Amino acid sequence: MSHSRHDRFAIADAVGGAVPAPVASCPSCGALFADMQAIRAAIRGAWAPARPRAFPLTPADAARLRPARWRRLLGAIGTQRDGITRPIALACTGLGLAGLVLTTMPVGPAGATSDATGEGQPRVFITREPAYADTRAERVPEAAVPDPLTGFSLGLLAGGGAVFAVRRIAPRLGGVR
Amino acid sequence: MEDLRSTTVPDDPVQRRDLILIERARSGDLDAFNDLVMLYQDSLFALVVRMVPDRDQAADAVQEAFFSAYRNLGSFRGGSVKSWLNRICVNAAMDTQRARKRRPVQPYPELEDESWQPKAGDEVDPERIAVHAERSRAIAAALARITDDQRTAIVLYDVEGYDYGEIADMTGVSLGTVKSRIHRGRLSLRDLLADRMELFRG
Repeated sequence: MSHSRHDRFAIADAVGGAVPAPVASCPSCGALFADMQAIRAAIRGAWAPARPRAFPLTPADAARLRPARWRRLLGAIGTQRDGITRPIALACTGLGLAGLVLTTMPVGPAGATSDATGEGQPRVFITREPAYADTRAERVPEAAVPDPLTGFSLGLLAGGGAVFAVRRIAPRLGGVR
Repeated sequence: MEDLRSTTVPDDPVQRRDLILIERARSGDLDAFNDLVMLYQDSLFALVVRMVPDRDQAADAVQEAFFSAYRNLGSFRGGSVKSWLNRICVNAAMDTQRARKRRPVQPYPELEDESWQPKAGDEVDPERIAVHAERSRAIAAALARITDDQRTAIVLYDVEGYDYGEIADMTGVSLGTVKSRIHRGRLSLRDLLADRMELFRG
């Protein structure tokens, strides 16, 4: 096989380790391998440029960098990644979703769907608004005032989402990536 | 605040010293933090200037890294202080690389002759020093011409000794991408240095 068909990446992969097969039989691959070995050794032994200055912090730097209380709190939340906040966020989100499903799920009379005589009849939805309250002056749009369980579920869902969001942004605000 | 010494096994005197300094810094002792700065600024600058081959930008990145370390002393969870600082510096260097990408691309400037810093204990023979300096210059110039991603992967793997998995974790790419960057970078360096290989042989 000619040198041009040898796998240069396999040779590059082997630098620093065992000599790959084509290297033994192909002088060009052997030269490539030896060169990359020499370059790797040179990189490892190369001097670095001298640093142009020292980096100690001044008291003014320290005062400026000392995190505010809210940042420390966010940082603490962000770094408690899998300890407390994750279960809390999961529980809130799960309960909130479950609550929403329960409050919006249509509920029919027991056995309504299996009852042959009930077929074709409109399904009955739970309503918390008594029929006699249906006067134009008193009627309040349903969307404006959610019932307490729906509100509580929405609150849980929002809380869970907020904790997830804080967990994501807290490391950027108060933690080290 | 947790006692870091109780959560680790500081058999290594260097680690024990670092943990004591970190703990004092966490309780507000700026001098203790600055002792850490003095201890690690050379090695951290050497790491960053290989990733960001511009001395001034590398210095700014190291300064930012120390700022970040001070701001986040509370998030240190024990273990090696040097590794923690290394990681912060690698992030700062990658931020600098990204910032360069957003601006109009300019090649890294040539590093001036008097800026090279021999490692402690290196040879004192003037001829060997001259060869070593020339070699270091050639390597730095070639490293500056490969892509930031390739250079970062090569420096972290070949110089700092991180494994593929650690580099993938630090740079946020897959293991295969890290390997590919290292292999392509090595081949590019060899092409760039093909005319000067006599400098590296023997």
